[in-house]
Amino acid sequence: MAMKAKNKELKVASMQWRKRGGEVLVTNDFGYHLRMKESEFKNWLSGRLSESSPLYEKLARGGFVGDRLDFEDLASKWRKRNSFLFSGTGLHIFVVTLKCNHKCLYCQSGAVGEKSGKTDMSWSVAKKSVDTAFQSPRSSITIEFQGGEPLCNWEVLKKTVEYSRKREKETGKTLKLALVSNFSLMDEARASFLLQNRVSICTSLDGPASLHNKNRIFSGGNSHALTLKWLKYFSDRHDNQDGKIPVYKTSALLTVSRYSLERHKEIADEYVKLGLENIFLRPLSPIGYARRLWSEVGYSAEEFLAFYSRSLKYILELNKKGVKLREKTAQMLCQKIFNFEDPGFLDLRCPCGASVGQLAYNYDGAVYTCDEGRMVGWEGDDFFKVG
Amino acid sequence: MPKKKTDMGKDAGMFEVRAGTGVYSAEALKLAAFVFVDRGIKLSFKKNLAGISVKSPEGERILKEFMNEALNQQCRMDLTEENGKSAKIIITRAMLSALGK
Amino acid sequence: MTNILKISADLKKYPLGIVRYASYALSGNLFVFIRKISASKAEISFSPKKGKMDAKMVSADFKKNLEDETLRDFIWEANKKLREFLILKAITAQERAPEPEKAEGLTPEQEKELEKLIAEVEEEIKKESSGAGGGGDPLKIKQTWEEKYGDESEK
Repeated sequence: MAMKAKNKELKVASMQWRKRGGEVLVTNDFGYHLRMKESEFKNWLSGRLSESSPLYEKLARGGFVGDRLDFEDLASKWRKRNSFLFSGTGLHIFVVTLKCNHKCLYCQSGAVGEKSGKTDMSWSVAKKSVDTAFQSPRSSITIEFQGGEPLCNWEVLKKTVEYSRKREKETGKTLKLALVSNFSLMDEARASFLLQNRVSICTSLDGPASLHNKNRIFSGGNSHALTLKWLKYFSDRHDNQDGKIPVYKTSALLTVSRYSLERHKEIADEYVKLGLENIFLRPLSPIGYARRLWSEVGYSAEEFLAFYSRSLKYILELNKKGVKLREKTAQMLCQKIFNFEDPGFLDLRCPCGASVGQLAYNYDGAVYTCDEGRMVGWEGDDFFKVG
Repeated sequence: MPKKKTDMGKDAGMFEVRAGTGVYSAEALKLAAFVFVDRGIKLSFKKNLAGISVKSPEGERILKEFMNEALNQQCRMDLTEENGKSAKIIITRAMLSALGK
Repeated sequence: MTNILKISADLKKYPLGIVRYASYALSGNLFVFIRKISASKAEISFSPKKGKMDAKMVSADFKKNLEDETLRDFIWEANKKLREFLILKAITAQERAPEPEKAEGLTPEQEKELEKLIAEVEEEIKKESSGAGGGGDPLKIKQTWEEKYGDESEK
């Protein structure tokens, strides 16, 4: 199909486009994007769009016109968007135990009972894992403790935190430590230790108590109440920090189950009530227990998207009223679209961060491409095991 | 489109469809079969034809979903081939960075 | 509203790859099955996943998709090498070192050395940009509009 403009061949540079509602969105590899009317799109492709028009100029600046390409700019934008390709593995997930005292309906991690033996990471495995993580060529790495419930293996967790900080000093790298915990085994001494060692903390909060406790079954008490208690504790410590040792703001993650789908407002309101400024509406993956209970807790992609759309609209309404609440997926996508930046979320990278962006170190020393790869391994398929 | 093989004998309730491997490559069909691993799909190949069958009361629907998946896999394979050079350059760079080079 | 729609596609006009992509675009709400009838003809069957389907609309959408995919293929083919070149350039480009400022009071020897250094850097950059495109300027990227199409004033 020849595209001719008068007696010259029209050069349309590499691009993608999508038509919707009489408009066309054009994008390219370099991160530029433009919206235009379908009639303008047709005019451009058939060579009838005047080269002196503002639209043509925008197209040229965005790298869509084949003989007006600014190679330096395009290469630079591409590099910026894909900056993660130029550094090594940054995120190292340590699954310090598979033991857990919750029985979350959607558990993907393969958690086992609290009294289960043999699923704790030993100190020697933890130490080797730290040494391996520090072999990354990156000048800054993150070690994130997950489980099961990491606090179920407190002694090894504590030693690993101390050893990691020691290695940080020895190597000169910058180390970030993070803990994902349900807080049920948290106490003052542990909290102080974590704060003194600059461990940033993340927990799960699925929404109001009736929803949270339905998803996250805790035989030892009220999971929601404990989560709130420690969220408040860490939030107070953050707000009243003395500047000597940084205290990071505690964050919460939400897992959307079938029970969440009709409760988007309550979920957002719960986060606002607790002073949380970020909410991450994450869909469920059919791995682990979630897969077995999919007919009870799962949903289709369309159902999730409808929930997400309702939730985001509600959050934007709250924003317009001056309420500070950011939906994380939307924020990351905006960062990619408008800032030509990679937000560092490996699930949204291309190529994905498997091994080159993150590694997951299982309790037994096996290393996987990522935490999800480890979960698939737990189900019997070691396709994603790399060491 | 999927057809019910017979209502009698050992193949009772079996649905099957034949697809040209010129349209849906053998690899695409095998990848789709992997996705449908717990749905009871059976694949067979003879010359340029693939036979896809399933024994289930919902056999017709399962086979239709299977063919959609086979089309999905084929399109992915086509895209992989078309973008292969760029993808290799990118992945090589990522791997070298992971090695510290 | 019907339950099965069969459409023929001329494979001489729309190669099989394009028929596949055009069909795939409708596979969200429809079941799709492609059958090659002859070397020059394919038959695509559509049936709804839920309820009944508007055959007229599906047929129109499919034909539109065929045109769109043909255009995509044209643009992709025309830009394939350039795209690969740009990605390679982005990946291999070094940050250009700032040119050293000519300080006051340089000796003649220092000035000579400086000029030699600038020439070396420029030579490196020239080599790099001709090397990345696979030798010379095969895509005629560096040609100006006038060099390619002639000066308008001549017409």
